[in-house]
Amino acid sequence: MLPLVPPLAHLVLQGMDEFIAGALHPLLTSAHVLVLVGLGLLLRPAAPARLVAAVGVFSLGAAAGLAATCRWAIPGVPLPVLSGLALGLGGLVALAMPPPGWVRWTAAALAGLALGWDSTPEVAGMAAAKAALGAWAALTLLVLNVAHYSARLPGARWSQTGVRIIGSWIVAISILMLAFWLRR
Amino acid sequence: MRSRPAPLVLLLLLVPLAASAHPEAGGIGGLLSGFTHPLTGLDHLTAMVAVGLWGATLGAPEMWLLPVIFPMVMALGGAMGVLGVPLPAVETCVALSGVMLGLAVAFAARPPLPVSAAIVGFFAIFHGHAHGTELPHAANPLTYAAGFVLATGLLHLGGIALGLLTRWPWGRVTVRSGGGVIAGIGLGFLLGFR
Repeated sequence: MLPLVPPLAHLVLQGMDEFIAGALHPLLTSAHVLVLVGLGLLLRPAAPARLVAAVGVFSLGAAAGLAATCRWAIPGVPLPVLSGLALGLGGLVALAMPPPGWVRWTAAALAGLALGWDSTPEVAGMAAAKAALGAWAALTLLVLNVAHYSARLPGARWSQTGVRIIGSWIVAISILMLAFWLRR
Repeated sequence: MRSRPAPLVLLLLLVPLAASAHPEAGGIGGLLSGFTHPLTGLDHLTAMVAVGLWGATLGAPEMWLLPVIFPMVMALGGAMGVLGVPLPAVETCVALSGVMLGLAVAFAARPPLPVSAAIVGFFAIFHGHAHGTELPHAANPLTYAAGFVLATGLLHLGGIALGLLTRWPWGRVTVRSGGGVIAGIGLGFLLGFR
């Protein structure tokens, strides 16, 4: 009954553990989840071509943020900034006020830059590059999936109200996150 | 007879493989703790359900607006509680919310939208404040907040779902009776019975 098999903290596939760790990072960070869901819901009313373009802008922003954090040793994005971003995105969704195109693109770029910047790999060298690649892939795929599948929801009132309710939950959680940050 | 390792022993040898590299017990624990917090207080639970019941009784647009507005206003109250901003008679107002919302459901009160929104918003502040002051300092605050908001929102939606029974005559009686029960529970808290 001795633990003859050593504890495997990471996947056995060589070189894949940093990538997976980077890919899981957005899912394990509450503020990132809020921003991703909020942005995805905000982008969903756009026509498919514009939605893909907006997600592309987000992806470029995330890549820029990740590149900067890998190149220079810069601290992560402060929680109030991420919470404020989530609050704004959730608020727009909750109020059902689809903003003009340039606002969506700006929000996508800022969100991508912030989340990429805040996904600092805790390793160096090639491992950091793999982790950054995993984070970039996960960020892009997450926001794309949220936007795509929420856009396919039925147009019934209950469905649209459900989206607004999720937006209000994002606002509420963001407000409480800010309060906790101020209390510490 | 050659003895073979019991399957259980072999299974135990594999236990270390289950070692988690990134135990998120803190985050998951905070999420669960926050999720169960609104469910542990009968005064909170009944009032949240009553908001949903009343919204369904009022019908559109209140039924759609209240679940959107309520969490945000409650979070403002929660932030006040977390930050230690004093609010008078919090527990009294929480108990009073059960009484008033329960009576509103029992009597199928249908005030104008601004009035119903103001009533619900007023009580949302106090409920949020009560939760905010009770939030533990040791829990993961971020996931705790998420769990807390989710549970409250689901209670609200559950109340709306129950309130949809009013489309049938027996449902109307059931819902209004439920409102009376909620009002009675609120009165009990108001009188100090816990």
